[in-house]
Amino acid sequence: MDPIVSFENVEVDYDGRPVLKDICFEVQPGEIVGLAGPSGSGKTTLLSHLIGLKRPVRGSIRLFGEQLTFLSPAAQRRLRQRIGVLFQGGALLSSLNVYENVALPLLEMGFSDAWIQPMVSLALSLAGLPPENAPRMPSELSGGMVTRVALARGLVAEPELLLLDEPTAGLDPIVADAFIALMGDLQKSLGITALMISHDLRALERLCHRIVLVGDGHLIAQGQLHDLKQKADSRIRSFFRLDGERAS
Amino acid sequence: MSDPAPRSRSGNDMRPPSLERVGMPGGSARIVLSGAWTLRRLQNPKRLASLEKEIHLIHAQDPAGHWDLMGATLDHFGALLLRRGWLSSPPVHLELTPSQASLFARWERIPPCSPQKVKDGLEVWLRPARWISRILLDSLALMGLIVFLFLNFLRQLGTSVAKPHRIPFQEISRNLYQMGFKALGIIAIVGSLIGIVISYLAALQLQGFALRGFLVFIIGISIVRELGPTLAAVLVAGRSGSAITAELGVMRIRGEIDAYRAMGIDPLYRLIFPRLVALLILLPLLVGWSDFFGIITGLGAAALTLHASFLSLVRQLPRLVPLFNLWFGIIKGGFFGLLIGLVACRLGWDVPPDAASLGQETTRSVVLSITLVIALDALAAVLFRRTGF
Repeated sequence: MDPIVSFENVEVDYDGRPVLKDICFEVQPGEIVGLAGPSGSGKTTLLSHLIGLKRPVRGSIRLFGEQLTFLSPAAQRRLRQRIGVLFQGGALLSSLNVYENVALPLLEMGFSDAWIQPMVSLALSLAGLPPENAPRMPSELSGGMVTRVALARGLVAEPELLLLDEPTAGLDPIVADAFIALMGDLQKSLGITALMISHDLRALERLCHRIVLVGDGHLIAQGQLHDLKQKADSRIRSFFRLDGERAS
Repeated sequence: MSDPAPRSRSGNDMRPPSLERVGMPGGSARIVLSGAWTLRRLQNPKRLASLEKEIHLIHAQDPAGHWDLMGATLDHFGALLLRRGWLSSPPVHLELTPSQASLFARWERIPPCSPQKVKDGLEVWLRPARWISRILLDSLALMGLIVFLFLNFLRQLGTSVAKPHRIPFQEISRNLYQMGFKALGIIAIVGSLIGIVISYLAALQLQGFALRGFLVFIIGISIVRELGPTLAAVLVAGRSGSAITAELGVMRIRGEIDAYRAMGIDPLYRLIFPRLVALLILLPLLVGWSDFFGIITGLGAAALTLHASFLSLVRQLPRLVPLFNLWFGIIKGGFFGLLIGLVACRLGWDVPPDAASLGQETTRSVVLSITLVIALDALAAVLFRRTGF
């Protein structure tokens, strides 16, 4: 099966400063891949490149088999409609209520209210949000609810790929656990393909089929969590706290 | 984590959604669906409407028909389209894959949601009364809080005189530079233009009356007593009042104000006091600056229009326009500055944590500041109408 995401020898920079070099990994259909690494290692920058917001310095990024670098802005927009993104902190539009936030991708695709309304109901339900939250404004929601609304917005247009940027950051352990369980259920029932950036070891352990670990400017290792934990590399052991150290 | 779950829908299916009706020996038809019945393949509104109509017609004509979905790729949206076509009463003979069945089953459990809060009849009737009372109460609360801020400012002034080492000089200086020095150019330009406009308008009316002294009086009194202070205040409200509201609003949203409190630092003293002091100092100075350019260009334009000596017009000015008027305008400027600062700080202080509110409060700050400045100006004009002539 063709991979949904493919990074081939990618080099990325941030404000002209090289961040990551020789990044090679793939995300296969139906797979959740965790992108992990210390703070400032370039994970979110990598995600920005995947969405097409930035261009890599070197190498190629393929999304649904298409090389992003050579696509016109219109083609990139069409490709982005096949992706659902859950940004760090939710990034809900504060002037729109929950319903309008979730409905936005479908509205942009040209669907009428008659089709949008049931799809928003479905997305809210999938994200575990009761429908009475639909008219509420983002400022009235708790952190966990903001994350769920952001997930609903990511799911509403039936994405073929879900990108999750630190979905459990800032959530207390109980809410974070509930979110991980929800994602696990969605993966089982919908067969979601996702690339998830996370520091949260529990989220990585419980959700991801494979983990890509970046740091020190390049890809340190990738594979199943169990295999990674067997490796002797001190950076891997430090990240997964195998030597009693805290991951940064 | 177990192996990846099989996907229930595929983005690789590029076939358009299609529906074929095949006759069966028993009488009922077999309806075979193929292609991708997915949100992305059903994006065309016309195609979507025609498919919905076609499904509905086929189902209505032949309720006992056999529907075969096994060869179609389906997602939630495709399932929704079929449900709507069937008017939520699925055909008796329906062939589905297990993943397709789970899509239909999920739709059965979805509670509807509404973008608006459901309101009862009484609430709709009470809405105008609530709206008016809310505006009145909000205005009263705002005025009360502005008065509180003013009293607090006076208290802090007293504290600062008692403990001068605590005065945030650096913050005051930064605000003087940002709100005062950087506004010099625009205030000089606007002041000059207003001087020219008044001079030409008045000169046109007074031509042929040999009333040169009256023209000097009109230019002098209107600029130093009214236009200079008001113009400077309006420009500062638009330029700096909005900036103060936005700056404090962002600090509120980012939790910086709470951080001050958490560190045991009075945020009113660190954030609002320096801004109010800066505005209190710089507005009178800017009024003087605006007056200077307004008078110079006004008298210059008058000299050109009347073919008179510029210096002779300047010499007439102190005799025709008593110095009281200059001080009156400058002191008024100080009050305007304080008023702009109080409104801007008050509205920025409690900005709700969203981008839209920040924009609304910033606009409100400018509009309210200018309105209050003009109202105060009108009050001063009435109270001191017999002074300075």
